Parts: sequence; C-alpha cells; structure tokens
Amino acid sequence: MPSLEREDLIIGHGDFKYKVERNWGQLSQKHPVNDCHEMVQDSKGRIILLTNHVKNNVIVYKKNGRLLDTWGDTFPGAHGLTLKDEGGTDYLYITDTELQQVVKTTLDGNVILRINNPKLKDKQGKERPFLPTETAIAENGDIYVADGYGSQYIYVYDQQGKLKFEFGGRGEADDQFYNAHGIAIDNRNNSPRLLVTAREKNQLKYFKMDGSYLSTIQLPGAYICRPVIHREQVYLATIWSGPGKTNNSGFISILDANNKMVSAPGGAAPVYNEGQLAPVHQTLRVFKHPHDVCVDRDENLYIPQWNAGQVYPMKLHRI
Amino acid sequence: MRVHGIGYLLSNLVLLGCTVSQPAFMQPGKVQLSPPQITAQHVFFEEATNLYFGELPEGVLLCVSGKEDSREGEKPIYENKMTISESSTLRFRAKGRSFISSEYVTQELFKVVQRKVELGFLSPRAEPYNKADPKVLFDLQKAKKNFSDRGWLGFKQDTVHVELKLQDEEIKGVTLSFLEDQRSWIFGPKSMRVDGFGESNNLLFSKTVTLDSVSQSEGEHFRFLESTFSSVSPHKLRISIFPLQKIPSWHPGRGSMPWLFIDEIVLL
Repeated sequence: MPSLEREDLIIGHGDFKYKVERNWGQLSQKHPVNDCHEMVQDSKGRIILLTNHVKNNVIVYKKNGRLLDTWGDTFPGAHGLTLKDEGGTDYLYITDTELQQVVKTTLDGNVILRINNPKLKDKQGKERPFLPTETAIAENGDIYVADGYGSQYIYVYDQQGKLKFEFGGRGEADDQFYNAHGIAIDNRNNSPRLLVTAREKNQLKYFKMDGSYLSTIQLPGAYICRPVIHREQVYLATIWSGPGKTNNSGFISILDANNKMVSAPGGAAPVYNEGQLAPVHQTLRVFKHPHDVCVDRDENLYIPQWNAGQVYPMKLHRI
Repeated sequence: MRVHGIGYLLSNLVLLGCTVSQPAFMQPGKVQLSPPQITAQHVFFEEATNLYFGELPEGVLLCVSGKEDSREGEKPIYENKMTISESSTLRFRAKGRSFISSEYVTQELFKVVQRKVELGFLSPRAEPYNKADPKVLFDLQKAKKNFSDRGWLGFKQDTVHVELKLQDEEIKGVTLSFLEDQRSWIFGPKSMRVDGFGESNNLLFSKTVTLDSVSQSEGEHFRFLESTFSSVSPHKLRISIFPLQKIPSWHPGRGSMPWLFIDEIVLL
C-alpha cells in the first residue's frame, strides 16, 4: 500500500512500480525553469531537460540530479526534444512553437540545421499554421515533424531539411488528428512503424513510414503526450485524465509489448472489460501536468511537467 | 447499494458544485488523494439511475454524504455501483488512513417526468457552437463536460430566449442545466426569468431567479439553475436567460462577454 511519507511513496502497478523522488532535479534560482517539456538520456548516460525558460533552455543533469551544464537562450517556445545517435554522435532535435521551427543541434548547442515554417496553403488557400510539437528521426535520416499545435499534419523532411511529403491533417478520419502532439518510431517488431499521438481523441495511431494509416490504440480518458518506446514498453505522460480535461489530473501510462496498459503511476490500476480499457483517471495528487517520460537504462523514469508552478522534474525509481 | 430519501431541497437556488481548495501536490510528508471518479448513468431519470465509481488505490475508501454543509452521516461505500431512485445531491470523497482525503465531488441527480414539449423559438446560437440539434435541450441526456460535445448549445449575447409550447400539462418549475468552465471563458447566467402564458396568450405568472455572484473555480462543472412556482398548466412558456455581461476582474478575460453553454431545460 502506498504510504504517506513522500520519500517512501510507491506508485504504479504490477511489475512497474516506482518510488517517488520529488526533489530530484531541483536547482537554485540561478537555473530557473518555466514549463519543463521533455527529457532524454544521451549516450553518456546524462539526462537532458528542455524548458521554455530562455535563461537556460537546456539543462544537463547527472542521473543523481546533480547539475552538469546549461545552455540555450533562444528557444522561447521550446517544446519537443528528440535525441538521435547519428554515426556515433548524439544530436538533439528541438521543436519551438513560438519560433515555428525545428532546430537540430549538437549536445552543446551548436546549430546544425533549421527547418522553418513550410508555409503551405490549406484547401481554402489560407496559409496553414505551423506549431511543431515533436520530431522522430528515421534510420535513413528522414525527419518526421508532428505539427501538433498547428495544422495537424505530419511533415517528412530529408536530413538536409527538404520537405519530402506530408500526411494527416485535422479531422475525424482514421488518418487524421486533433492534436498530433507526439510521434515516435516503433521498431519493437523489427519493422519500423510510426506511432502518433491523437490527443483529443485519447488515441495512438500507427502509420507505415510512408504515411499510410495502419491502426488505432484506444486509451479512453488519457490525454497523452508523446509515446516513448523503451525496450518492450511504451511510456506516456498523461497530461490530463478523466471525462473532461480536468486541471492537475495527470499521471503516467505504461503499455506492454501488446500495447495493453499495465501500469498507471499516479492513476488507477488499468482495468480491461472484454478487451476494452475502462476510462482511466488520476487517483493520487503526485503530478499536475506531466508532459514527458524519460526512461534511463536502469528503467527509472524522469518526469518533466507543464504548467506545474515551475517545478523541476521528479524521478521515479523502479523497484 | 440503494439509497433513498437523501434530502434534496427543491428551492429557488443554484446547486453549487464542490468547494475548490488548493490540492496538496506532494507537499512535505503529505500526499492527497484525487477526487473520486463518479459516472452517472443518467442525471435526469424517470424511475432510477445508477452511479458507477472508478477504481481507488488499495486501502482507500469511497465515502458519501448528503448535505453540503454537514460532515455528519458520511457513509463508506463498498461496491462499485449505487442505485438512486429519488432526486438527490450527493457528495463523495476518497479517504485513506495514509493520505490527505480528497476534495469533495458533488453529484446532482434529478427525478423527472418526460413531457411533450415543442420548441417555438430559440435565440440564434454563436458559431461554431450552433451545430447541435436544438432538440437536445429536451432529450434529458446530459452532455459531456467537454464544451465541444454536440450536446451543448453555445451563446454569446445579451439575452437568450427560449419559447416552449406545452400541452396544458401541469408543471411546477423549470431547471436550466449549464456548463461552468472558467478556463474556457464559459460562465453561468446571471439570472433566468420564466413567463407562463395561457391559451389566449395571457400572462399567468412571471418568476425570476438570480445566480449568486460568481466565484473562481477550476475545471469543468455541471451547474443547475432552478425556478419553482405554484403548479400551473400554461399553454406556452417563455424562458429568458440573462448571461453574465462581463467576465469578472479576477479572470484573464476580464471585461469581455463570456460564453454561455446550456444542454437541458427540464420541466418539473
């Protein structure tokens, strides 16, 4: 049973239970954060946080929460952070919803590539908005950009930043989205597929790498951010839950190899009735609005939060 | 479990939702339980309705009480369903020895009689919330808490008029069901006037109810404004809803006209 003392608080279900370390990433006000949007672990094991505070958009931590480095003062709308090992070198792909750009950088902040608003027109001839929320990088270097706060298209660029094709768009159809907030490449069955968030519908959608629609995973009640695929599991920050988008109702969702929810740290134990997931909801006030899950090599989780009173990330220790 | 006769006062007042307090997110030494998930089969029902309860953490108990101003009579619920056969206002919270108790969740339920109603006039709705069939106002089905649900009719104007043709049935009140979602600039009305007319269009009665001043609230809430009167059998009802003219000063949209979203008008 979860206990009252915060350092002893155990959350989660089944094989995916975690001890909460609330103050893991706390720093002095020399290194402030606004929204803590996303986190990744680099090949050296360091934990990298992206915040939209322009004093230090990128904060680099050791796994124990000690500060290693900060950089970045030019990303007012810093939102998406993807790390890709390209020929033995790590690169970051940052999406910025205010700059309306995707920016590829080295780990110490040197800009390698900028992708600007493609300024495409909709069917009425009006310029589409471009507010990119996430990227996923294919093995051939193609850059998949989810325009989750903009046009709802997925734009696919080559590694030089040239637009190759697009798919999706706003709408009710299987291959369309309301809030395509996140995107990842699922290679768990050794055949890469795209896994895209359709947040307002509480869904994840599978596509072939060419943008052809494949299938949908229903997660009723879960307003999810990006899918994070680590080993056999999919981890999802669930920013809101319940029948409405109730403030401060977030938790973490964990799906197994069959995309069945097996644990919900901070939420109710997942229940399936005749193969359908019952609507999910928060049960403990641990998180306000979790926005991403970073899974380290020891299976611990790091949770940055949006609109949570400028709090630093928490760490959940796998037990 | 079946609950009868939990007091529900049918008077000219607004049935307020749960009190909003600051949740205790991981305060030192404290973890608060989240408000329990309560799902009503039907908010408006003729015979009986069921309430379904979401999963709770191990060792945590769901408790129910009747009156908003009293903690007495709070009872534990050991099942995941409760059947209600009378109009009721119920308050629920989650309690566990190792946790701070959750905030309260208030659930209103209305036992009603299905009546034949013909819509005579409805003020124009504001785009894009003008797509729903106006008949949803009388289908006794609650819309979802999301304002984009097609069960809501959205308005942004000085006065909303609804005229109903009745079949001289006896009625004793009107309940307006509306949404409060302050984050989305959706507020309740300031007041509602109900005018009843006879067959020769003579005014039988006129009654106005006023909503208390608006207080800050988080999240989305179903709210109800009720007007009751002596039993009458009008031929026509004219319901005039007066939205709040300006968003209060404590809100980012201060001074602007708020949205009004209504989903049901129930004749008592």
